[in-house]
Amino acid sequence: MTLEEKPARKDHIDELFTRLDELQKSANVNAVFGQPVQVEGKTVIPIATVRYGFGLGFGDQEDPSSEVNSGGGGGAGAIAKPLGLAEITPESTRVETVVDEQRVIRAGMLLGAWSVFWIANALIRILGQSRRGECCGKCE
Amino acid sequence: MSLIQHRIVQGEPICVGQKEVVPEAQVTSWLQRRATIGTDHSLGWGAGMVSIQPTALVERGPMGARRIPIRDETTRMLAGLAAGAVFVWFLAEVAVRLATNRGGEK
Repeated sequence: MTLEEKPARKDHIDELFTRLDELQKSANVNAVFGQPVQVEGKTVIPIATVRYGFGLGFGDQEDPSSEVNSGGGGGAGAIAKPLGLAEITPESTRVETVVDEQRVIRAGMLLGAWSVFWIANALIRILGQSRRGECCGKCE
Repeated sequence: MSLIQHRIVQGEPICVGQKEVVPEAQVTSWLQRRATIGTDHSLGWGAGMVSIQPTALVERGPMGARRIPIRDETTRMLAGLAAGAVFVWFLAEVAVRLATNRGGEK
């Protein structure tokens, strides 16, 4: 049986692919730049980074009694992180970025532990080597 | 079909005084999709990921145009710390090698 003989199935696949394309193409600037807000004569625009993922699937099976069993599903997830603010005045435009201090502190603590581990490891190897190098005079 | 796309997108200009500011972002997307049509069954699935990263504000005014980059300071700091971690490991290995070679010469 060819694809042309299965119009319903072909339609399902076309619809699935169209939806996937729409999800991919729906990404635009408005997702990361917020609506401009007027604050004390300045135009302020919130800025963020956005990541999202999605998955869709379907399947159908025709059993011997010519009954068609079908099912489908999908899921999606998104992460948005604030990046900063843009301040626009008639005289100047500047971007104030924000730092995720908690993440940086956690990474700094991890780096500290990593450094202590490798320095201790190096000292143990160096001192162990120098002790093995000391001769008691009985071994020869 | 698997496809990774990079594209730069610009938003609507924001007019402030005599100048206009155009937001700009980079969109990176990946899409994977498959379909199977058999005599008594059909199967289709697809998955994708999209990352939208603001890159700059383009300012256009009577004085000309200029690009104000938007940097992700958190990511830069984390990259710096990761580079520091590799450097500490490298330094420790070099110290051990030097000490071992010196010990061997004695």
